[in-house]
Amino acid sequence: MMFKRPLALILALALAGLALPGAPAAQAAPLKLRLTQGVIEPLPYALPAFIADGAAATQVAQQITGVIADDLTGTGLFRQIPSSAFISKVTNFDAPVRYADWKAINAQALITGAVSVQGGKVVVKFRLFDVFNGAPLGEGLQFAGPVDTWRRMAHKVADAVYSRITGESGYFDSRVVYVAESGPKTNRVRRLAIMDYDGANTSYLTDGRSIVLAPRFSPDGQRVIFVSYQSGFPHVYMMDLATLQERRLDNQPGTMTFAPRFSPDGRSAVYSLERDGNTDLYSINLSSGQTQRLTQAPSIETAPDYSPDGSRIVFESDRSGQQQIYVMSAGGGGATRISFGPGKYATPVWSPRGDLIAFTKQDQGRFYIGVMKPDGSDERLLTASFLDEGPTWAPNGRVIMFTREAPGSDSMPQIYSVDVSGRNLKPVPTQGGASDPSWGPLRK
Amino acid sequence: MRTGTIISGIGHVGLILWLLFGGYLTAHNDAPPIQVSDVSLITNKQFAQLTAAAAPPPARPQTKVKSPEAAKETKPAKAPKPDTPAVSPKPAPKPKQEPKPDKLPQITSAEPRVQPPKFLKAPTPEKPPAAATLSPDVHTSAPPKASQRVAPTPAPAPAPDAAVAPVPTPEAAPEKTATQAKPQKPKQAQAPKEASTQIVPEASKQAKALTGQSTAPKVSPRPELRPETPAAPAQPPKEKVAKAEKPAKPEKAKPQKAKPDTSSAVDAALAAAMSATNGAGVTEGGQGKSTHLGPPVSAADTEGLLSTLKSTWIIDPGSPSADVTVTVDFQLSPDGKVIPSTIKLVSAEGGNQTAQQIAYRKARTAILHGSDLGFNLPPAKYQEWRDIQMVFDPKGMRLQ
Repeated sequence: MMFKRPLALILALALAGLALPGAPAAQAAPLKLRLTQGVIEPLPYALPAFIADGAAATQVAQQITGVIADDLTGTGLFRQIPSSAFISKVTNFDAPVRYADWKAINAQALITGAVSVQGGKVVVKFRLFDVFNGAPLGEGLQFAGPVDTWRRMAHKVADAVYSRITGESGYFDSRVVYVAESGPKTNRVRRLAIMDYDGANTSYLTDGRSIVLAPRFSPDGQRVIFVSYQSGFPHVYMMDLATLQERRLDNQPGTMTFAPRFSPDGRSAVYSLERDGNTDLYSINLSSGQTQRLTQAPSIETAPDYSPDGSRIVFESDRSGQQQIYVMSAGGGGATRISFGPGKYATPVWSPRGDLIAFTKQDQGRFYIGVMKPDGSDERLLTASFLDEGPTWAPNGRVIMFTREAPGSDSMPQIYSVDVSGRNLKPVPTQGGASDPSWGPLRK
Repeated sequence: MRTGTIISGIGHVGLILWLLFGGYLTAHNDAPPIQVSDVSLITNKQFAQLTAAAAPPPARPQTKVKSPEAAKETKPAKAPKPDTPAVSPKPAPKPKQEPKPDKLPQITSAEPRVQPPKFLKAPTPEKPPAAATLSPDVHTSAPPKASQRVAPTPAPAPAPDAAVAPVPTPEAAPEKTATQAKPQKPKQAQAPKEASTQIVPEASKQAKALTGQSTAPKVSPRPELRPETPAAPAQPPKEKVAKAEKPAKPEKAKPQKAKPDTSSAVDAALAAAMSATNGAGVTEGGQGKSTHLGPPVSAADTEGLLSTLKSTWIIDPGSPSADVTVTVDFQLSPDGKVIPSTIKLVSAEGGNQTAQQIAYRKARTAILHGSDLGFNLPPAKYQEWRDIQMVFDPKGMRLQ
């Protein structure tokens, strides 16, 4: 017996040794699965009212919380969980987060914040939490500024939240310049106006004595280029938003200029110039005033826009017999037609991401806002109505604003926005009629 | 005296020798066949892993990293104290204690950083494994199963047919590459049977016991339970899996160049076959691929998991993250809950790094959320679904 055990041991060891090479084969391979469908629905988030640091901050805290909620929910990508469903109450900005409580109400993101007002200055700080991962999503941030800028601070918080969750930059702290319209259709007053992206803080840039059209933001958001009939004919003007001073860009007698657009670096602009009944595209150096002719065709070339890298220009032309979209190099020449669907295509605008071109399409009496790739492929129509036109991109390339007008002599144009996916179509609240929006960059 | 001693000595020595060699010979014959299998099964690290997995998961480590709040989170009841993580319990002004994360005293561009740390692996280098997984897996799982069950049906070696697989129509491919595509179809045909076994047991513990029942019928009460049935359907799929594996072997022996083609063909065929039948999710590369000896996981078994994840995986088709396909590994505990620390990104394809990060986070959230809702996996097959590799592929949901 004494001898047998060691032998058995030796045997066992030997056998185990023999078995070793096979051991890895016995190791478990993971069960491999592929998921090809998920759900397309807004991400639920909880936004407890920001904590007011003192009585003076109470109202501002409420307002800021409301704007953040409007911003996020307004994207269609987020769904606010009503506070009545909350299990945890956030009463202290630095209090630990009870993730389980937020999980229980299916909140995927939690935003907490606090607001204080001191000496006419408002300070907003917030934190974002990834509930299911049980961890903060990025660090806390704090913004400060004059009390009357509280909306901007709310937008900035919303931008930060949006960006952290989606990985894309936000667009809430941005402005839109547009044509405000009032009066009957036969005697319409058109003024340049500027507002926050959500329709708040509207102010007017011109007095309405002359017709204005096609305002476009400069890439830095400091200037606006537009068409005015001050001289009785349409000409391109540029306005400094800080001083409201404007100057006419072109200076060629006997011509009309229109459809201007800044280059991505803001140093030049491209526009249409009509001379002797023929319209072509030109670019102008904004410092020297030097112009360059980009197209030379008997047809009408108009509505130019640069690609984000400034290397190409997309424009509309009727050279084929009806309006279609073409792309050419920024220096002119080599235009390639990219739209081939039924109907007419107009007002192409390059997405800030560079991956899509938005356009207006007219077919069989209806108007559409659509997008296509820069090579013309993958055309998708996002909206359809009696009259939809003039798309403009949000600074992050995610949302498109455009003008919609209903039939009828007393109808007023309105600005609408739609997600690039075609969802979340909604009007943008404006004072009176509004058309021809141009979405500016994120403010700094 | 001497002779006596000598005789006694010889006798003892003889006895000892007999004990040594006789015992050695006899014991040698008996022991190996039984012990071999036992040893390889029991002693492996798998048991250690098993027990480790069964032990309470170590709770998210990430939480702790970022802020003290996470640590405190576990303390539920204490209301007042935990507020300030700082050192002293001063009655001083709370508001002044700005948490370290706070930044930017003035309005500044809020361009946020999108947590870079989580990302470990680049997308492209990871591809090979993903593509290669199929073939290697087939190999690894093949030997054991073939030796045990497929012995009767060894002959057909339709390896060349695999090359024909790429025939355009999805249905044609599986037919031609009979050995490969077939195993999938029958599996799904058997799904209903498995489904019945899944529905029957309300008590998971009993089901567990019943799996042992096949080998050791210790369980006496309630003989009516039907989990016996899975045993029957369990075999055919293995045969088929084995069949599918066979072509891989012969190919090995033949020209090695042919391998990748067939494996990709198999991959395509399987994917086509599976996606045709199951829109939401599919089991890749054959089910129950692991080398565990338990019953294989069927499509019906994974249906609960896939449908749960389908409901928790939020996709934003307009986002760049919708262009990213991520492969994520994770481990489940025996009660079907995800062990958060085991969730790992294996690879990401498409999009830029930020989009990949977002895609991974969404997948991770889907898994964690789904775990809370429950995956409804058959406890008896825990060994088969303990380790899961899930591909989150939003291709079909992208904007067209």
